[in-house]
Amino acid sequence: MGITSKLFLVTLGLLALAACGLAIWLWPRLAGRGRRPVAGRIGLLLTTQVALLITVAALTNDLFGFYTSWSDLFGVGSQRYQLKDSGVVQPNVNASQLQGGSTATPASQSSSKPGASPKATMVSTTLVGLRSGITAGLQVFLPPEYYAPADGRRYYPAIVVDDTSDPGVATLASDLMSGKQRPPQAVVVIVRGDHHHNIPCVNEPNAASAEQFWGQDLRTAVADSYRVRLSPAAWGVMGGGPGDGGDCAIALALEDAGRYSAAAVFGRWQRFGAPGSPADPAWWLRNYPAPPSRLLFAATGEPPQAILGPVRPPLQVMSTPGPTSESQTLDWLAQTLQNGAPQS
Amino acid sequence: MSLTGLPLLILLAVLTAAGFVAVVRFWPRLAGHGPRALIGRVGALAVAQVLLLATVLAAANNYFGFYGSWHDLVSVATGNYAASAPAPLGAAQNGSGITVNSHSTLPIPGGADPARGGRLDDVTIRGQLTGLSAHALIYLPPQYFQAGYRKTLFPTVIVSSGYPGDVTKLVTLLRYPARLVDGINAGQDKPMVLVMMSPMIISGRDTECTDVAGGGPRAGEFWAMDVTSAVERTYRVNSDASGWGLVGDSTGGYCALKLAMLNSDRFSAAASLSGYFGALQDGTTGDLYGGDPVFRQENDLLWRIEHLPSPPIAALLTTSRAGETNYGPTLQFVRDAKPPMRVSTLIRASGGHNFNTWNAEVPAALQWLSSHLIPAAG
Repeated sequence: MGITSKLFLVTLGLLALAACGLAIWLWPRLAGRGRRPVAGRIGLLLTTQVALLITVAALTNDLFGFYTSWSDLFGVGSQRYQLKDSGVVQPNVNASQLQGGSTATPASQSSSKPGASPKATMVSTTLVGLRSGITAGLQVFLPPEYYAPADGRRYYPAIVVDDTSDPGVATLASDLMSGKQRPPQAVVVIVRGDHHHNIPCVNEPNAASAEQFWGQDLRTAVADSYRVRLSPAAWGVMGGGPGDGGDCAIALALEDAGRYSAAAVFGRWQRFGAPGSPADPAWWLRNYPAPPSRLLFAATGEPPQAILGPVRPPLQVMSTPGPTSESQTLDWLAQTLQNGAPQS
Repeated sequence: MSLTGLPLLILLAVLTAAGFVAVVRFWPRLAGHGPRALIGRVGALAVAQVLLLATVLAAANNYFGFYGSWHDLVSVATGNYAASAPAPLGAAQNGSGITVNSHSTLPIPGGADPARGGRLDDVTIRGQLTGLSAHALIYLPPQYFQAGYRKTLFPTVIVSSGYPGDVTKLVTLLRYPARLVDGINAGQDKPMVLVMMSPMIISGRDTECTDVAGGGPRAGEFWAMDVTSAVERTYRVNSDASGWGLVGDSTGGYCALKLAMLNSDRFSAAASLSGYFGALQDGTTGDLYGGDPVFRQENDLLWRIEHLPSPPIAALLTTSRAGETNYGPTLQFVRDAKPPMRVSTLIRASGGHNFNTWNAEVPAALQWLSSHLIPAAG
């Protein structure tokens, strides 16, 4: 009779009921004085108590499924098992998300003379997100010093530029490579959509794949391919223009502050998220502790106080009086990250 | 009087014995005819029974460590779960997020010397990102204190009890640290740091390691991000995903697998002992998903493995052909998992959802974890 069989449980229940009934029925007969009636009481009471206790225990066990056989209960069952080890995950799995790619350097690079200062590098590649299933085009900018022999062990902060919904930043890549201004001391990752789908933003409802893409696929692919640490202190994100890239950048630094520690919005930017919903940064800051992130509002539109509500430490917020160019915003992020990022 | 410990147990045992004696002693007074005497007898039997049950429950709670305090129990009974008080603003920014309450050693031969038996730190972890905090026991293996390993960054495993479950039972009942030492001495396990916790980070509540919808506690974020970064700031551990793993039984198994699947940039291996896969919601969890069926689905691991890309982690799933309800679902998970995920299984012929089973599986799980995690050079 199994420990969880109906027959066993019903039998136990009936026995317990019978014991109680018997106790109540026989009660007057054992009310006398002397050794025998007292012994009878003790025996009868013990029987009912134990019968009820075992019934309750057996029913509880059946309900929660703790022990499903007698040998299991008494610990005499076979402890043998079959372990099928399927091995470990391929070690280069994160780097393998970057597929294909072509490297561009400025024309002057090809005619490099001895002693010429090193030039920046731009790598165009495709990110096939392992976790999110999202595919995106990437342009990875490496500062001129990146390949300099003396700098071979230096780690750089990484700045993600959300270009998935805003063609306005399309000029950033050429600006970076033109060498007109001093390039940022950071690895800049420009993320483009795949021309068919918009890459979702983390503050959209049910944006699980967005969290996996921005927080994990993108970061691990870059960190395993270039000299960039995964520490949040090394990661910033920026967006702007008419798309929702700015919203996404702010949302990442607030909601995923364990992965991005700085964000900036620039240019002509209009907030998208509905006020009072979880997509609203003010809602987030009202409900959760302020994250240790740094935000820059370098855009036209509402002032930061109107968007965020009261700002408490350790969150830090800066704003500029008017719209700022993407290059200036990039510089701010690069310097902000330099101030906190591990360098070696 | 504390819920666990001898005083309550002795009090209940004395009351039970006194109740028993009183029934025998005053038996004749209830021996009459009529409804009053009858009701008296039923009442006397009931009172004696309730006392006995209370004693047995308290003893079982003491042994298995389901609930650690009256506060936990009251929270469950009333369904009124208060989050722990948020950490003072900015306080954790410069600190590590870990307060060490006390150090102890293992009661094993030579255990008094940390270089032979390791060290157990009783700590409070305060989450910088979530504001949640939890009691944890952190075990540092003997090698952590040996000169030859002075520059080693150790792999780390977060060990979770089931729900309800008390963290101390991971040391005394499932004996994770002692078994790890045995495994290391036998040459089967590599030294690892163990961070032992209960899923009950909010008194009494079973959060299922979920970022609770609608502004609720972000328990998943706490486990995956706050705990890992606090440990990395305090101890010599490998902060890469290749150094971080998880293990747990029952609810702890579900948590281990879910946290690794959702944070595969943080963890590379998870062992789920008798873990289930579904997104549970009941009286002990309260509302976790805010009535959002999509969010609930995202917490259903069988749904995830069937419909979403499989994350780059290794998983060990344990079950038994007879005695566990997760046998079928485990096979389904194995069938639906795709590369780059690697799913290992430990299958017993029989064995239920209990400590006999987990006691038998802990050494194998530790060995599996230590072969899947790697240290780093400091």
